[in-house]
Amino acid sequence: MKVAYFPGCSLHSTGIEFDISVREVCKALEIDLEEIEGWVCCGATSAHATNHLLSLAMPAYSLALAERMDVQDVVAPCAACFNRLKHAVVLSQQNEETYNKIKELLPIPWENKLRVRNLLDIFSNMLEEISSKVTKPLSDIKLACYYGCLLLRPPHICQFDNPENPQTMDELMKACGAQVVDWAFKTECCGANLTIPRPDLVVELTYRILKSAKTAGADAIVTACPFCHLNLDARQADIHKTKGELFNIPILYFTQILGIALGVPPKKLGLTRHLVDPFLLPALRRR
Amino acid sequence: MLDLVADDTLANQIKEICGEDVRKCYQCGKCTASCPLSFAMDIKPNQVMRMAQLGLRDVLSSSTIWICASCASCTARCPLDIRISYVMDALREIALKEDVSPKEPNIPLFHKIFCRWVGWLGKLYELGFIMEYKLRSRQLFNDIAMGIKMFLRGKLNPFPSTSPNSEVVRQLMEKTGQK
Repeated sequence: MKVAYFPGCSLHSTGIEFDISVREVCKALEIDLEEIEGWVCCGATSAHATNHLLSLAMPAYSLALAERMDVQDVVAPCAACFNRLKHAVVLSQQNEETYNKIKELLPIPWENKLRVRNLLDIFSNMLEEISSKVTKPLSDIKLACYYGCLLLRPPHICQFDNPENPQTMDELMKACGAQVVDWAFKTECCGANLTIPRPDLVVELTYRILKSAKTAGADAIVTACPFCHLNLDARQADIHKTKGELFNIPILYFTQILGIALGVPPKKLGLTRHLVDPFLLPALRRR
Repeated sequence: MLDLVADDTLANQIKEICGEDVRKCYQCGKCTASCPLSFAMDIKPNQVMRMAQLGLRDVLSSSTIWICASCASCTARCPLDIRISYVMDALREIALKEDVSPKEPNIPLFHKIFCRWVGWLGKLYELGFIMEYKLRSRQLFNDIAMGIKMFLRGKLNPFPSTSPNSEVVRQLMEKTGQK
């Protein structure tokens, strides 16, 4: 299967291990990712916070570039990019005036004919194949699947999974042999970009999420978004400082767990780039 | 007693930007109950909706419109399908256009610097953007330990990556009146 790949800015920097593990996992599952040539930033979050039309035109331009490729689907692993690309697609489908305004702004034609998907969506539709390819099941690890906001909300845009109690990541992790915990904070907000201007608020929000996962008995939290990953991983030191509680809970991308289960060597999955060391977990150390 | 005859100007401005009609809101309070950041807001989300209905422009100088993290919990749960997160976006856009002095100045500063860097390069150069933000908000030394750890793990690219189509982004910003 060939798809157009929209990595987004974070996957080339703070979320680099997401990009690394996405590419490895897709190789193992024979999904041919072809990066959209000349793609531009999706604008999240600052464009939509300041300029509605700009926030739709920026992702629409990258989608227009992808229409020149021989593909039906655009894959954006980053939840924020997925959300903004879907906004351009769905709001244009729902409102012709919006579509016309965007089209007028773009220097190249845009038919809005491609489907925007996130990787959980793709993988959850090939669970049987994935199960059959799992060579190293992770039966000795308990995971809290954290979906965050942007894969699910707003539901009229994302049109993916159950926005209140999503299951796709849980099912995928179970297919990898892992145990998943039932917990209450799987769709709570991590504070996203407030981590720069208001880190105190992000400490508050991530504290609740980490605490909930720990109480539920999770060894690690699995994410699908570079913002969520950054906040949950990098703010644990600040939480220790301000709340006096040291969690040391490893935060992993779902593609890293899937990669391990599919037999990709852990060193090829970017596991050493996290701030909280995932090899703290005996289950991962043994691999 | 508050004069409850609404001035529709603000409601109309919001509708013009994002298509949402704040007049539909009947004050059930579900948005505030759902909001993970309402504890940090000076005016709660349902009050923002009421003020927007009544045309009370003080809402534009609330901390709320900047503290909102766009998680869209309110939007997912609103029984009237009002996309409250779009209303928040529209209020920010109006506040910027009208030069309303923000109660949380660092957050709009963050957005402004973000958009400028993306306009230059077509992509976000995270290290450069964060350094400029830290300098201009005079917060240079907080997060330094975290920044160094991230840098050492190769999570902050020292060199900017650019899109060959950065000029297109610049033009889009110009045509849409981005400040």
